Amino acid sequence: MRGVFSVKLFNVLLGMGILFALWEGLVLSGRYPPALLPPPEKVLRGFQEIGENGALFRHAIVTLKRFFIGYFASSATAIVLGLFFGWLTKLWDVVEPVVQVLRPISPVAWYPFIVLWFGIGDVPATVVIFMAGFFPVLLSTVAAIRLIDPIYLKVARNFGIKQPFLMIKIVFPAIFPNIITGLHLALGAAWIFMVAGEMLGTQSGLGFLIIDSRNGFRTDLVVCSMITIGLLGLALDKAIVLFERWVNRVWGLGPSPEIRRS
Amino acid sequence: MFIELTNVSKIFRNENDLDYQSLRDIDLAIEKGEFVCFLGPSGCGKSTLINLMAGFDFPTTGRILIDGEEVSGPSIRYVTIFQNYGLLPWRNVRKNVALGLESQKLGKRERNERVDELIRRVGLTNFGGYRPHQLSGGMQQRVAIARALAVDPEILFMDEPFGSLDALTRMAMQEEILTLCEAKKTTIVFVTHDVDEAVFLADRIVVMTPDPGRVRKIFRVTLPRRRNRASPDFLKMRDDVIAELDFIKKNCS
Repeated sequence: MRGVFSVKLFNVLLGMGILFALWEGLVLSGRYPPALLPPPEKVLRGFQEIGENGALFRHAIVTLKRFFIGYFASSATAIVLGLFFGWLTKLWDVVEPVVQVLRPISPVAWYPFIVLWFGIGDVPATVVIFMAGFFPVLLSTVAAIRLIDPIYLKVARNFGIKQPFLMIKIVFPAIFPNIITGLHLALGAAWIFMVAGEMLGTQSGLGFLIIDSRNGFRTDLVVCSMITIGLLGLALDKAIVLFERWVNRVWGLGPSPEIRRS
Repeated sequence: MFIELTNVSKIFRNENDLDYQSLRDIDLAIEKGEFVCFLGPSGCGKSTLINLMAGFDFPTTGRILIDGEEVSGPSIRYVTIFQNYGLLPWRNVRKNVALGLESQKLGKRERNERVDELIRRVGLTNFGGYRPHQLSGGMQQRVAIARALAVDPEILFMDEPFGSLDALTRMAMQEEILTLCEAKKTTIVFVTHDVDEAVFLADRIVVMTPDPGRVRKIFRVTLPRRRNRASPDFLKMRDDVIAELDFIKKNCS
Protein backbone atom coordinates (compact mmCIF):
# COMPACT_ATOMS: atom_id res chain seq x y z
CA MET A 1 0.00 0.00 0.00
CA ARG A 2 2.75 2.46 0.92
CA GLY A 3 4.54 1.63 -2.31
CA VAL A 4 1.42 2.41 -4.34
CA PHE A 5 0.96 5.66 -2.46
CA SER A 6 4.50 6.88 -3.05
CA VAL A 7 4.28 6.01 -6.75
CA LYS A 8 1.07 8.05 -6.94
CA LEU A 9 2.64 10.98 -5.14
CA PHE A 10 5.66 10.80 -7.43
CA ASN A 11 3.39 10.90 -10.51
CA VAL A 12 1.49 13.90 -9.17
CA LEU A 13 4.72 15.79 -8.44
CA LEU A 14 6.17 14.80 -11.81
CA GLY A 15 3.12 16.02 -13.74
CA MET A 16 2.95 19.28 -11.82
CA GLY A 17 6.71 19.74 -12.20
CA ILE A 18 6.53 19.38 -15.99
CA LEU A 19 3.61 21.83 -16.15
CA PHE A 20 5.52 24.43 -14.13
CA ALA A 21 8.71 23.87 -16.14
CA LEU A 22 6.84 24.44 -19.42
CA TRP A 23 5.13 27.51 -17.99
CA GLU A 24 8.38 28.98 -16.65
CA GLY A 25 10.13 28.09 -19.93
CA LEU A 26 7.56 29.99 -22.00
CA VAL A 27 7.87 32.96 -19.67
CA LEU A 28 11.69 32.88 -19.86
CA SER A 29 11.58 32.70 -23.67
CA GLY A 30 10.48 36.35 -23.39
CA ARG A 31 8.06 36.10 -26.28
CA TYR A 32 4.94 36.80 -24.25
CA PRO A 33 4.43 39.94 -22.16
CA PRO A 34 3.65 39.21 -18.46
CA ALA A 35 0.10 40.56 -18.89
CA LEU A 36 -0.67 37.78 -21.41
CA LEU A 37 1.24 35.10 -19.54
CA PRO A 38 1.81 35.90 -15.88
CA PRO A 39 4.94 34.14 -14.58
CA PRO A 40 4.54 31.55 -11.81
CA GLU A 41 6.29 33.65 -9.21
CA LYS A 42 3.94 36.55 -9.88
CA VAL A 43 0.96 34.20 -9.44
CA LEU A 44 2.45 33.02 -6.15
CA ARG A 45 2.77 36.63 -4.99
CA GLY A 46 -0.82 37.15 -6.13
CA PHE A 47 -1.88 34.25 -3.89
CA GLN A 48 -0.01 35.90 -1.05
CA GLU A 49 -1.70 39.24 -1.71
CA ILE A 50 -5.33 38.04 -1.88
CA GLY A 51 -4.62 35.46 0.79
CA GLU A 52 -3.43 38.08 3.24
CA ASN A 53 -6.14 40.63 2.55
CA GLY A 54 -8.76 37.88 2.88
CA ALA A 55 -10.28 38.38 -0.57
CA LEU A 56 -9.58 34.84 -1.78
CA PHE A 57 -11.07 33.24 1.31
CA ARG A 58 -14.11 35.52 1.24
CA HIS A 59 -14.89 34.83 -2.41
CA ALA A 60 -14.23 31.11 -2.05
CA ILE A 61 -16.66 30.87 0.88
CA VAL A 62 -19.34 32.73 -1.06
CA THR A 63 -18.85 30.39 -4.01
CA LEU A 64 -18.98 27.24 -1.89
CA LYS A 65 -22.08 28.42 -0.09
CA ARG A 66 -23.87 29.20 -3.34
CA PHE A 67 -22.66 25.95 -4.81
CA PHE A 68 -23.92 23.78 -1.97
CA ILE A 69 -27.30 25.52 -1.83
CA GLY A 70 -27.74 25.17 -5.60
CA TYR A 71 -26.41 21.63 -5.77
CA PHE A 72 -28.39 20.20 -2.84
CA ALA A 73 -31.62 21.95 -3.83
CA SER A 74 -31.13 20.67 -7.37
CA SER A 75 -30.32 17.09 -6.33
CA ALA A 76 -33.23 16.90 -3.91
CA THR A 77 -35.71 18.24 -6.48
CA ALA A 78 -34.35 15.99 -9.21
CA ILE A 79 -34.52 12.89 -7.00
CA VAL A 80 -38.11 13.57 -5.90
CA LEU A 81 -39.22 14.25 -9.48
CA GLY A 82 -37.16 11.32 -10.73
CA LEU A 83 -38.86 8.94 -8.29
CA PHE A 84 -42.23 10.32 -9.36
CA PHE A 85 -41.62 10.11 -13.12
CA GLY A 86 -39.72 6.85 -12.87
CA TRP A 87 -42.63 5.26 -11.06
CA LEU A 88 -45.32 6.62 -13.39
CA THR A 89 -43.79 5.28 -16.60
CA LYS A 90 -46.67 6.45 -18.81
CA LEU A 91 -46.23 10.01 -17.55
CA TRP A 92 -42.48 9.79 -18.14
CA ASP A 93 -43.08 8.75 -21.75
CA VAL A 94 -44.76 12.15 -22.20
CA VAL A 95 -42.23 14.14 -20.18
CA GLU A 96 -39.10 12.51 -21.58
CA PRO A 97 -39.14 14.18 -25.05
CA VAL A 98 -39.41 17.58 -23.36
CA VAL A 99 -36.52 16.73 -21.03
CA GLN A 100 -34.41 15.52 -23.95
CA VAL A 101 -34.86 18.88 -25.71
CA LEU A 102 -34.23 20.97 -22.60
CA ARG A 103 -31.21 18.99 -21.46
CA PRO A 104 -28.73 20.03 -24.19
CA ILE A 105 -29.47 23.74 -23.59
CA SER A 106 -26.66 25.14 -21.50
CA PRO A 107 -27.90 26.71 -18.26
CA VAL A 108 -26.06 29.86 -19.35
CA ALA A 109 -28.36 30.14 -22.37
CA TRP A 110 -31.19 30.73 -19.92
CA TYR A 111 -29.34 33.66 -18.46
CA PRO A 112 -31.47 36.47 -19.95
CA PHE A 113 -34.58 34.86 -18.51
CA ILE A 114 -32.92 34.02 -15.23
CA VAL A 115 -32.09 37.70 -14.75
CA LEU A 116 -35.57 38.78 -15.77
CA TRP A 117 -37.20 36.30 -13.42
CA PHE A 118 -34.83 36.31 -10.48
CA GLY A 119 -33.16 39.72 -10.74
CA ILE A 120 -29.46 40.13 -10.03
CA GLY A 121 -27.37 39.21 -7.01
CA ASP A 122 -26.95 35.81 -5.43
CA VAL A 123 -29.91 34.05 -6.96
CA PRO A 124 -29.03 33.89 -10.69
CA ALA A 125 -25.71 32.15 -10.06
CA THR A 126 -27.43 29.68 -7.75
CA VAL A 127 -30.09 29.03 -10.38
CA VAL A 128 -27.40 28.27 -12.97
CA ILE A 129 -25.81 25.77 -10.56
CA PHE A 130 -29.24 24.28 -9.89
CA MET A 131 -29.92 23.80 -13.59
CA ALA A 132 -26.51 22.32 -14.34
CA GLY A 133 -26.96 19.63 -11.71
CA PHE A 134 -30.62 18.90 -12.34
CA PHE A 135 -30.77 16.70 -15.44
CA PRO A 136 -28.01 14.18 -14.61
CA VAL A 137 -29.72 13.39 -11.30
CA LEU A 138 -33.23 13.31 -12.78
CA LEU A 139 -32.23 10.95 -15.59
CA SER A 140 -30.18 8.63 -13.40
CA THR A 141 -33.05 8.38 -10.89
CA VAL A 142 -35.61 7.54 -13.58
CA ALA A 143 -33.23 5.01 -15.15
CA ALA A 144 -32.47 3.45 -11.76
CA ILE A 145 -36.14 2.85 -10.94
CA ARG A 146 -36.53 0.83 -14.10
CA LEU A 147 -33.67 -1.43 -13.00
CA ILE A 148 -34.90 -1.97 -9.44
CA ASP A 149 -34.87 -5.61 -8.41
CA PRO A 150 -38.56 -6.63 -8.47
CA ILE A 151 -38.08 -8.73 -5.33
CA TYR A 152 -37.97 -5.52 -3.22
CA LEU A 153 -41.37 -4.52 -4.57
CA LYS A 154 -42.76 -7.99 -3.94
CA VAL A 155 -41.54 -7.93 -0.35
CA ALA A 156 -42.99 -4.45 0.13
CA ARG A 157 -46.39 -5.49 -1.27
CA ASN A 158 -46.33 -8.62 0.86
CA PHE A 159 -45.80 -6.59 4.03
CA GLY A 160 -48.44 -4.05 3.07
CA ILE A 161 -46.06 -1.10 2.65
CA LYS A 162 -47.99 1.63 0.81
CA GLN A 163 -47.06 4.98 -0.69
CA PRO A 164 -45.38 7.22 0.34
CA PHE A 165 -43.53 4.69 2.53
CA LEU A 166 -42.92 2.43 -0.44
CA MET A 167 -40.86 5.22 -2.02
CA ILE A 168 -39.14 6.34 1.16
CA LYS A 169 -38.38 2.98 2.74
CA ILE A 170 -37.92 0.71 -0.24
CA VAL A 171 -37.52 2.29 -3.68
CA PHE A 172 -35.26 5.22 -2.80
CA PRO A 173 -32.75 3.25 -0.70
CA ALA A 174 -32.83 0.35 -3.17
CA ILE A 175 -31.76 2.55 -6.08
CA PHE A 176 -29.58 4.98 -4.14
CA PRO A 177 -26.28 3.37 -5.21
CA ASN A 178 -27.36 3.98 -8.83
CA ILE A 179 -28.48 7.54 -8.18
CA ILE A 180 -25.01 8.40 -6.88
CA THR A 181 -23.63 8.06 -10.41
CA GLY A 182 -25.93 10.92 -11.37
CA LEU A 183 -25.02 12.89 -8.25
CA HIS A 184 -21.36 12.53 -9.20
CA LEU A 185 -21.92 13.74 -12.78
CA ALA A 186 -24.08 16.59 -11.50
CA LEU A 187 -21.39 17.70 -9.08
CA GLY A 188 -18.87 18.10 -11.88
CA ALA A 189 -21.31 19.86 -14.22
CA ALA A 190 -22.59 22.19 -11.49
CA TRP A 191 -19.06 23.16 -10.46
CA ILE A 192 -18.10 23.99 -14.05
CA PHE A 193 -21.20 26.10 -14.64
CA MET A 194 -20.86 27.77 -11.27
CA VAL A 195 -17.97 29.87 -12.66
CA ALA A 196 -20.02 30.94 -15.67
CA GLY A 197 -22.94 31.79 -13.42
CA GLU A 198 -20.78 33.94 -11.18
CA MET A 199 -19.31 35.80 -14.13
CA LEU A 200 -22.73 37.09 -15.05
CA GLY A 201 -23.92 39.86 -12.80
CA THR A 202 -22.76 38.78 -9.36
CA GLN A 203 -20.55 40.92 -7.17
CA SER A 204 -18.82 38.11 -5.29
CA GLY A 205 -17.45 34.60 -5.67
CA LEU A 206 -14.51 33.10 -7.55
CA GLY A 207 -16.14 33.66 -10.95
CA PHE A 208 -16.58 37.32 -10.08
CA LEU A 209 -12.99 37.46 -8.86
CA ILE A 210 -11.84 36.39 -12.34
CA ILE A 211 -13.87 39.13 -14.03
CA ASP A 212 -12.86 41.70 -11.45
CA SER A 213 -9.15 40.85 -11.77
CA ARG A 214 -9.36 41.02 -15.57
CA ASN A 215 -10.97 44.46 -15.33
CA GLY A 216 -8.03 45.56 -13.18
CA PHE A 217 -5.53 44.00 -15.67
CA ARG A 218 -4.41 41.59 -12.96
CA THR A 219 -4.03 38.39 -15.00
CA ASP A 220 -1.93 36.94 -12.18
CA LEU A 221 -5.01 37.08 -9.95
CA VAL A 222 -7.09 35.52 -12.76
CA VAL A 223 -4.75 32.53 -12.65
CA CYS A 224 -4.96 32.47 -8.83
CA SER A 225 -8.75 32.20 -9.07
CA MET A 226 -8.52 29.51 -11.74
CA ILE A 227 -6.15 27.40 -9.67
CA THR A 228 -8.40 27.78 -6.61
CA ILE A 229 -11.42 26.68 -8.64
CA GLY A 230 -9.48 23.66 -9.90
CA LEU A 231 -8.31 22.61 -6.45
CA LEU A 232 -11.72 23.04 -4.81
CA GLY A 233 -13.37 21.13 -7.67
CA LEU A 234 -10.87 18.33 -7.22
CA ALA A 235 -11.55 18.22 -3.47
CA LEU A 236 -15.32 18.02 -4.07
CA ASP A 237 -14.82 15.20 -6.56
CA LYS A 238 -12.65 13.27 -4.11
CA ALA A 239 -15.26 13.80 -1.41
CA ILE A 240 -18.08 12.33 -3.50
CA VAL A 241 -15.90 9.39 -4.52
CA LEU A 242 -15.38 8.65 -0.80
CA PHE A 243 -19.13 8.97 -0.25
CA GLU A 244 -19.78 6.58 -3.15
CA ARG A 245 -17.39 4.02 -1.67
CA TRP A 246 -19.01 4.35 1.73
CA VAL A 247 -22.47 3.74 0.27
CA ASN A 248 -21.25 0.73 -1.68
CA ARG A 249 -19.74 -0.69 1.48
CA VAL A 250 -22.91 -0.19 3.53
CA TRP A 251 -25.10 -1.64 0.74
CA GLY A 252 -22.69 -4.56 0.40
CA LEU A 253 -21.83 -3.81 -3.22
CA GLY A 254 -18.12 -3.41 -2.67
CA PRO A 255 -15.57 -6.03 -3.73
CA SER A 256 -14.95 -9.08 -1.52
CA PRO A 257 -17.40 -8.64 1.33
CA GLU A 258 -16.48 -10.41 4.54
CA ILE A 259 -18.47 -13.63 4.71
CA ARG A 260 -19.43 -15.26 7.97
CA ARG A 261 -20.13 -18.95 8.26
CA SER A 262 -23.33 -20.08 9.94
CA MET B 1 -60.60 -26.21 3.22
CA PHE B 2 -58.14 -23.43 3.91
CA ILE B 3 -56.59 -22.95 0.48
CA GLU B 4 -58.76 -24.04 -2.40
CA LEU B 5 -57.70 -24.12 -6.05
CA THR B 6 -60.42 -24.82 -8.60
CA ASN B 7 -59.62 -25.30 -12.28
CA VAL B 8 -56.62 -22.97 -12.11
CA SER B 9 -54.89 -22.30 -15.43
CA LYS B 10 -52.26 -19.73 -16.27
CA ILE B 11 -51.30 -18.62 -19.74
CA PHE B 12 -48.43 -16.24 -20.35
CA ARG B 13 -48.25 -14.22 -23.53
CA ASN B 14 -44.75 -13.36 -24.72
CA GLU B 15 -43.73 -10.30 -26.75
CA ASN B 16 -44.34 -12.15 -30.05
CA ASP B 17 -47.96 -12.68 -28.97
CA LEU B 18 -47.36 -16.38 -28.56
CA ASP B 19 -49.21 -18.02 -25.72
CA TYR B 20 -47.50 -20.33 -23.34
CA GLN B 21 -49.60 -22.42 -21.02
CA SER B 22 -47.80 -22.62 -17.72
CA LEU B 23 -50.55 -24.30 -15.69
CA ARG B 24 -53.62 -26.30 -16.71
CA ASP B 25 -56.62 -27.22 -14.62
CA ILE B 26 -55.10 -27.40 -11.19
CA ASP B 27 -57.57 -28.61 -8.56
CA LEU B 28 -56.29 -28.85 -5.06
CA ALA B 29 -57.31 -28.23 -1.48
CA ILE B 30 -54.89 -27.55 1.33
CA GLU B 31 -55.92 -27.84 4.96
CA LYS B 32 -55.10 -25.44 7.74
CA GLY B 33 -51.81 -26.37 9.39
CA GLU B 34 -50.78 -28.65 6.56
CA PHE B 35 -47.27 -28.76 5.10
CA VAL B 36 -47.58 -29.25 1.33
CA CYS B 37 -44.59 -29.60 -0.98
CA PHE B 38 -44.82 -28.99 -4.71
CA LEU B 39 -42.24 -31.12 -6.46
CA GLY B 40 -41.38 -31.42 -10.11
CA PRO B 41 -38.86 -30.77 -12.85
CA SER B 42 -38.17 -27.19 -13.88
CA GLY B 43 -40.86 -25.78 -16.13
CA CYS B 44 -43.67 -27.62 -14.37
CA GLY B 45 -45.16 -24.33 -13.18
CA LYS B 46 -44.65 -24.88 -9.45
CA SER B 47 -43.20 -21.41 -8.91
CA THR B 48 -45.97 -19.88 -11.03
CA LEU B 49 -48.51 -21.68 -8.89
CA ILE B 50 -47.07 -20.42 -5.60
CA ASN B 51 -46.97 -16.89 -7.09
CA LEU B 52 -50.69 -17.14 -7.84
CA MET B 53 -51.53 -18.41 -4.36
CA ALA B 54 -49.45 -15.64 -2.77
CA GLY B 55 -51.34 -13.06 -4.82
CA PHE B 56 -48.41 -11.69 -6.85
CA ASP B 57 -50.13 -12.77 -10.07
CA PHE B 58 -53.58 -13.94 -11.08
CA PRO B 59 -54.82 -17.11 -12.76
CA THR B 60 -56.02 -16.84 -16.36
CA THR B 61 -58.99 -19.04 -15.53
CA GLY B 62 -60.20 -20.74 -12.40
CA ARG B 63 -60.06 -19.38 -8.90
CA ILE B 64 -58.04 -19.52 -5.73
CA LEU B 65 -59.69 -19.13 -2.35
CA ILE B 66 -57.88 -18.63 0.91
CA ASP B 67 -60.03 -18.94 4.02
CA GLY B 68 -63.10 -18.66 1.80
CA GLU B 69 -62.05 -15.45 0.10
CA GLU B 70 -60.75 -15.06 -3.43
CA VAL B 71 -57.07 -14.02 -3.49
CA SER B 72 -56.94 -10.44 -4.73
CA GLY B 73 -53.30 -9.59 -4.01
CA PRO B 74 -50.53 -10.18 -1.51
CA SER B 75 -51.48 -9.91 2.12
CA ILE B 76 -49.53 -9.68 5.33
CA ARG B 77 -51.55 -12.72 6.48
CA TYR B 78 -49.53 -14.93 4.17
CA VAL B 79 -45.87 -14.21 3.70
CA THR B 80 -43.62 -15.46 0.90
CA ILE B 81 -40.01 -16.52 1.39
CA PHE B 82 -37.85 -16.37 -1.70
CA GLN B 83 -34.81 -18.35 -2.77
CA ASN B 84 -32.67 -15.19 -2.87
CA TYR B 85 -34.02 -14.06 0.51
CA GLY B 86 -35.30 -10.60 -0.51
CA LEU B 87 -33.57 -8.86 2.38
CA LEU B 88 -33.00 -5.11 2.21
CA PRO B 89 -29.20 -4.74 1.97
CA TRP B 90 -29.14 -1.23 3.46
CA ARG B 91 -30.87 -2.39 6.65
CA ASN B 92 -29.22 -4.41 9.37
CA VAL B 93 -30.69 -7.68 10.65
CA ARG B 94 -32.87 -6.02 13.32
CA LYS B 95 -34.33 -3.50 10.90
CA ASN B 96 -34.96 -6.17 8.29
CA VAL B 97 -36.88 -8.24 10.81
CA ALA B 98 -38.82 -5.14 11.88
CA LEU B 99 -39.95 -4.34 8.31
CA GLY B 100 -43.34 -6.02 8.45
CA LEU B 101 -44.06 -4.62 11.92
CA GLU B 102 -43.61 -1.03 10.78
CA SER B 103 -46.93 -0.87 8.98
CA GLN B 104 -48.72 -2.26 12.03
CA LYS B 105 -49.87 -0.30 15.03
CA LEU B 106 -47.28 -1.34 17.57
CA GLY B 107 -45.50 0.61 20.26
CA LYS B 108 -41.78 1.06 19.86
CA ARG B 109 -41.02 -1.07 22.90
CA GLU B 110 -43.40 -3.80 21.85
CA ARG B 111 -41.87 -3.87 18.39
CA ASN B 112 -38.33 -4.07 19.77
CA GLU B 113 -39.29 -6.94 22.05
CA ARG B 114 -40.86 -8.80 19.16
CA VAL B 115 -37.77 -8.30 17.00
CA ASP B 116 -35.48 -9.49 19.80
CA GLU B 117 -37.62 -12.54 20.39
CA LEU B 118 -37.57 -13.55 16.70
CA ILE B 119 -33.87 -12.94 16.26
CA ARG B 120 -33.34 -15.18 19.28
CA ARG B 121 -35.60 -17.89 17.89
CA VAL B 122 -33.63 -18.10 14.65
CA GLY B 123 -30.36 -18.05 16.60
CA LEU B 124 -29.02 -14.70 15.44
CA THR B 125 -29.00 -12.85 18.76
CA ASN B 126 -25.42 -11.66 18.33
CA PHE B 127 -25.92 -10.53 14.75
CA GLY B 128 -28.65 -7.89 15.12
CA GLY B 129 -26.36 -5.11 13.91
CA TYR B 130 -24.97 -6.99 10.91
CA ARG B 131 -26.00 -6.21 7.38
CA PRO B 132 -27.17 -9.02 5.08
CA HIS B 133 -23.99 -9.08 2.99
CA GLN B 134 -21.96 -9.79 6.10
CA LEU B 135 -23.89 -13.02 6.71
CA SER B 136 -23.76 -16.47 5.11
CA GLY B 137 -26.63 -17.66 2.91
CA GLY B 138 -28.13 -19.77 5.69
CA MET B 139 -28.06 -16.87 8.11
CA GLN B 140 -29.64 -14.57 5.53
CA GLN B 141 -32.48 -17.02 5.00
CA ARG B 142 -32.97 -17.21 8.77
CA VAL B 143 -33.35 -13.42 8.79
CA ALA B 144 -35.99 -13.70 6.07
CA ILE B 145 -37.81 -16.38 8.08
CA ALA B 146 -37.67 -14.25 11.24
CA ARG B 147 -39.02 -11.29 9.26
CA ALA B 148 -41.89 -13.43 7.99
CA LEU B 149 -42.74 -14.95 11.38
CA ALA B 150 -42.64 -11.51 13.02
CA VAL B 151 -46.03 -10.67 11.52
CA ASP B 152 -47.54 -13.99 12.65
CA PRO B 153 -48.65 -15.16 9.21
CA GLU B 154 -51.28 -17.85 8.78
CA ILE B 155 -49.48 -19.23 5.72
CA LEU B 156 -45.85 -19.31 4.67
CA PHE B 157 -45.26 -19.60 0.94
CA MET B 158 -41.72 -20.83 0.41
CA ASP B 159 -40.36 -20.80 -3.14
CA GLU B 160 -37.27 -23.04 -3.17
CA PRO B 161 -36.09 -21.27 -0.03
CA PHE B 162 -33.07 -23.46 0.58
CA GLY B 163 -32.17 -23.89 -3.09
CA SER B 164 -28.94 -21.94 -2.96
CA LEU B 165 -27.64 -23.33 0.32
CA ASP B 166 -25.04 -26.07 0.71
CA ALA B 167 -26.30 -29.56 1.64
CA LEU B 168 -25.48 -29.41 5.35
CA THR B 169 -26.93 -25.95 5.91
CA ARG B 170 -29.96 -27.02 3.92
CA MET B 171 -30.65 -29.98 6.22
CA ALA B 172 -30.21 -27.81 9.29
CA MET B 173 -32.65 -25.26 7.87
CA GLN B 174 -35.21 -27.98 7.15
CA GLU B 175 -35.16 -29.02 10.80
CA GLU B 176 -35.32 -25.41 11.87
CA ILE B 177 -38.36 -24.46 9.82
CA LEU B 178 -40.26 -27.40 11.31
CA THR B 179 -39.32 -26.40 14.85
CA LEU B 180 -40.17 -22.74 14.25
CA CYS B 181 -43.61 -23.46 12.85
CA GLU B 182 -44.52 -26.33 15.15
CA ALA B 183 -46.12 -24.31 17.95
CA LYS B 184 -48.43 -22.17 15.81
CA LYS B 185 -49.12 -24.92 13.26
CA THR B 186 -48.53 -22.45 10.43
CA THR B 187 -49.74 -23.70 7.05
CA ILE B 188 -46.74 -24.07 4.76
CA VAL B 189 -46.75 -24.29 0.97
CA PHE B 190 -43.28 -25.21 -0.18
CA VAL B 191 -41.80 -25.47 -3.66
CA THR B 192 -38.74 -27.63 -4.21
CA HIS B 193 -37.04 -29.87 -6.74
CA ASP B 194 -35.27 -31.85 -4.03
CA VAL B 195 -37.00 -35.18 -3.31
CA ASP B 196 -35.29 -35.65 0.08
CA GLU B 197 -36.41 -32.23 1.17
CA ALA B 198 -40.01 -32.94 0.20
CA VAL B 199 -40.12 -36.32 1.96
CA PHE B 200 -38.51 -34.86 5.07
CA LEU B 201 -40.85 -31.89 5.34
CA ALA B 202 -44.20 -32.60 3.78
CA ASP B 203 -47.51 -33.95 4.96
CA ARG B 204 -48.37 -34.23 1.29
CA ILE B 205 -46.17 -34.10 -1.79
CA VAL B 206 -47.79 -32.78 -4.97
CA VAL B 207 -45.81 -34.09 -7.95
CA MET B 208 -46.21 -31.94 -11.04
CA THR B 209 -45.49 -32.52 -14.73
CA PRO B 210 -44.38 -29.85 -17.21
CA ASP B 211 -45.77 -28.52 -20.53
CA PRO B 212 -48.31 -27.54 -19.40
CA GLY B 213 -47.96 -27.75 -15.63
CA ARG B 214 -50.41 -30.20 -14.14
CA VAL B 215 -50.75 -32.22 -10.98
CA ARG B 216 -49.48 -35.70 -11.72
CA LYS B 217 -49.84 -37.41 -8.37
CA ILE B 218 -50.22 -36.62 -4.70
CA PHE B 219 -48.32 -38.60 -2.08
CA ARG B 220 -49.37 -38.54 1.54
CA VAL B 221 -46.34 -38.85 3.80
CA THR B 222 -47.43 -40.61 6.98
CA LEU B 223 -43.97 -41.04 8.52
CA PRO B 224 -43.92 -39.74 12.09
CA ARG B 225 -42.28 -36.35 12.64
CA ARG B 226 -38.58 -35.99 13.45
CA ARG B 227 -38.13 -38.12 10.39
CA ASN B 228 -34.99 -40.16 10.10
CA ARG B 229 -33.54 -39.71 6.65
CA ALA B 230 -31.84 -43.12 6.82
CA SER B 231 -34.84 -45.17 7.97
CA PRO B 232 -36.20 -47.83 5.58
CA ASP B 233 -39.63 -46.16 5.49
CA PHE B 234 -38.09 -42.83 4.55
CA LEU B 235 -36.06 -44.44 1.79
CA LYS B 236 -39.06 -46.38 0.53
CA MET B 237 -41.11 -43.17 0.28
CA ARG B 238 -38.24 -41.46 -1.43
CA ASP B 239 -37.92 -44.27 -3.98
CA ASP B 240 -41.63 -44.12 -4.74
CA VAL B 241 -41.45 -40.41 -5.41
CA ILE B 242 -38.32 -40.76 -7.52
CA ALA B 243 -39.98 -43.52 -9.54
CA GLU B 244 -42.85 -41.16 -10.28
CA LEU B 245 -40.45 -38.40 -11.37
CA ASP B 246 -38.56 -40.86 -13.57
CA PHE B 247 -41.81 -41.81 -15.18
CA ILE B 248 -42.49 -38.14 -15.94
CA LYS B 249 -39.03 -37.72 -17.36
CA LYS B 250 -39.38 -40.70 -19.71
CA ASN B 251 -42.82 -39.73 -20.91
CA CYS B 252 -42.27 -36.04 -21.36
CA SER B 253 -38.98 -35.91 -23.21
